Amino acid sequence: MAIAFALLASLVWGNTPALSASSVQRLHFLAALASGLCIWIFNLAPPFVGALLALLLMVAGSGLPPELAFSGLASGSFYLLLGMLGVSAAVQQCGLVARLLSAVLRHLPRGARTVQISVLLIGVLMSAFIPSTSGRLQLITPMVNAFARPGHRSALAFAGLSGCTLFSTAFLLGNAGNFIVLGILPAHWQPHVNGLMWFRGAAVYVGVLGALLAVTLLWQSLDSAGARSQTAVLYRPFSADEGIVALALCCLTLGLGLGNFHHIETSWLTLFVFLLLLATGVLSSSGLRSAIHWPILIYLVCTVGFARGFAFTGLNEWIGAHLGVLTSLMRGGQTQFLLWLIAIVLLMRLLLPAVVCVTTICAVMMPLADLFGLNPWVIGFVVLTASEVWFFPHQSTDYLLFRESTGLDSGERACLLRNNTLIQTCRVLALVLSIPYWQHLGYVQ
Amino acid sequence: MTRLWRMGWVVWFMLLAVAAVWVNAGSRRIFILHEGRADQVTSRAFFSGADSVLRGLSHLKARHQYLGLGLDACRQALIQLTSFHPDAVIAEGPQARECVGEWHNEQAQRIFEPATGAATNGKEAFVAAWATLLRELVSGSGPVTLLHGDDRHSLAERDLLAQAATMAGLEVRFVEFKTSAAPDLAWTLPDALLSQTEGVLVLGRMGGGGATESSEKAWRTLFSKLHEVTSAPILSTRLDSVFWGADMALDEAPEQRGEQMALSAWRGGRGETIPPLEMAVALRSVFAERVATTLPQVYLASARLSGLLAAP
Repeated sequence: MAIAFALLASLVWGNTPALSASSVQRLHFLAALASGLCIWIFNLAPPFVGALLALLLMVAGSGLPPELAFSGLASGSFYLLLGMLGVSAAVQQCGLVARLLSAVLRHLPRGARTVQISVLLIGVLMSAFIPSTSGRLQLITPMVNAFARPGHRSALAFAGLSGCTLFSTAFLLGNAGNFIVLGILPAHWQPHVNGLMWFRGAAVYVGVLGALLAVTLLWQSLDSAGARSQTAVLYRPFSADEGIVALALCCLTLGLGLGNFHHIETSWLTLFVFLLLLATGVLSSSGLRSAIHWPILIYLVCTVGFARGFAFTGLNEWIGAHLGVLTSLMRGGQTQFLLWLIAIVLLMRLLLPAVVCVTTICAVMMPLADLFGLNPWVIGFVVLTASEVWFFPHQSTDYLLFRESTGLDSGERACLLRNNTLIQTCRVLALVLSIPYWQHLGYVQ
Repeated sequence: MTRLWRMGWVVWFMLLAVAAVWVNAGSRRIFILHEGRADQVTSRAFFSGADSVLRGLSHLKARHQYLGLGLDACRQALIQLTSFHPDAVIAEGPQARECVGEWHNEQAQRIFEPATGAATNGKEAFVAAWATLLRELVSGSGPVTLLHGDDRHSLAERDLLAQAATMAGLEVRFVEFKTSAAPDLAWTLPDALLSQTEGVLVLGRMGGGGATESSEKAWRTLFSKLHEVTSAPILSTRLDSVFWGADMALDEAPEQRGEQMALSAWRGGRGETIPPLEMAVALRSVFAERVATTLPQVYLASARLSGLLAAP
């Protein structure tokens, strides 16, 4: 159906003499993109298959040069994501995180509130360097299960889920979608965006959401008597793998912290650490195949190709010239534009997966934002964060997996969903309150 | 894998890390601020010229940023400029120059795009190229009308254009307007221009010429008004202007300008910025067809090769 759509467009529009060559090329490009969208919307295959097919049709049908279409393979964001997925897999596999968590929890008071806050903070901390939400949830679930007692199982699950998901877009390394945004950013913007800049831009969002989340957690009543629990304490000796992973993490942290001194890009630092883990055997070849989320990497390559394709076919300019409302908002009413953008993404997310929303909106809007003096990173952050907002279970596969692995009963699920509705609304509020801060930074006019 | 072998790898990687930091920390950092948008042909040409020099030098780290059409773009560019800690800053165009001027760092080398014909050799090349073009395009003794601004740079360029017209044996007349007043959407053509509309019209510098969206629209309006009052060729000294309505433009090659400024940044201020000696041609395709028999094909080939052939 998708291929037929593209072929039909080629036949119908391609042979219309009234259209100029560039218009025909744009139509072919859009038809190819539409074929990918068909696959995404109707869930005919995994998203990366649709993306790859769309890219293939763009190369074959709209004359998009392969070096542009596959420029994602040469982008730093691809290697950054590859490296971070590898580092994250090594951290999880070697048992270092489990040891650290065990050590932290062993020394904490066992009050229900303390455990809840600890679980939340551990989730937030993991968001800073584990780019997979499901990976973080896999690590937090055993803790939630170990500490959960009938009186506060739902509250603890909520803390774990919130800690692992709410701040993922605030840290560059916290979400695979962040790398997609990084890849779609206009080429001259990419070197300017690093972990520090990313977090600086998200600071108000983190502050506001953190405060609102704290209020929400404190508002929940907990049965303190039910908090006593056993923690799985690890007494095995420190392994060589753990030592190497700890060293790799130290190198990465130092490298990120001293970026202004050495000026080596984050992607190459991450790749270096990833290679260290491979060379020393911490990550095996077989482990690499299963630990690296290859579909998201392929998807990333495709999205970069889409963005470059938009620029190549001149669709950005066309949109800028023909969508007067959009450009006038972007030029003269950037605050209103961002508010509209949040609303549109929230509506789109009712039907489309987050990654598809991020790809389509960012590929179109980010180059336009660059033209009109709106920092394209702001567009990326807003779209990413708004697309992570979910109110209904079908919108979040991470929640569905977490729900199954924690074994919440129907009452606890309902309670968790109620709390989630509240905190997701707070998330939107935090996003809106970030706009004046971005104006102060000069990101938004 | 034995423990010793793993230790060997760890030690080797740590040595590599130290070496990489040592090499990169000593690199020379160059920040290039472009006027206009990344997709403008002149910006692209300047970029490729600078990039051809900087890419081959591994100890140089270059970052580019574009002022685009944003009103507050300079502020964003300055934030990036400050965080990059550059050793040298290159500003392409007067708007970028103005922006870099707001950056308070005396240690970094600043390289600004030189004014047209700033040095003797550049001046000679500019005058000779314009004289040749006018000779080939204008029959008889003219006249040629020069429309120019009243600021220092515009007047210097006007003198060069007048010199070229004289060299081509053409009669020249000048129409001056206040640089501060133009161009905007409400701009009206000077009476002196309306009273005599025959002969080639050459538009010289008209002030800063930054690429804000309103100025682009104003340029389009201006060229459309000029086309209404004259059927003669409208030439310009700004390459981008063919995309806004000028028939043909001739200016110092932005690619070579980028190369020269990048070389100057690499040398660390030891060498003076040399203006480019090559000239670039931009043409509107409709005009190219109109003068296909009179104008040598080399102009069309040059414009096509540089991507400066504008569709109608």
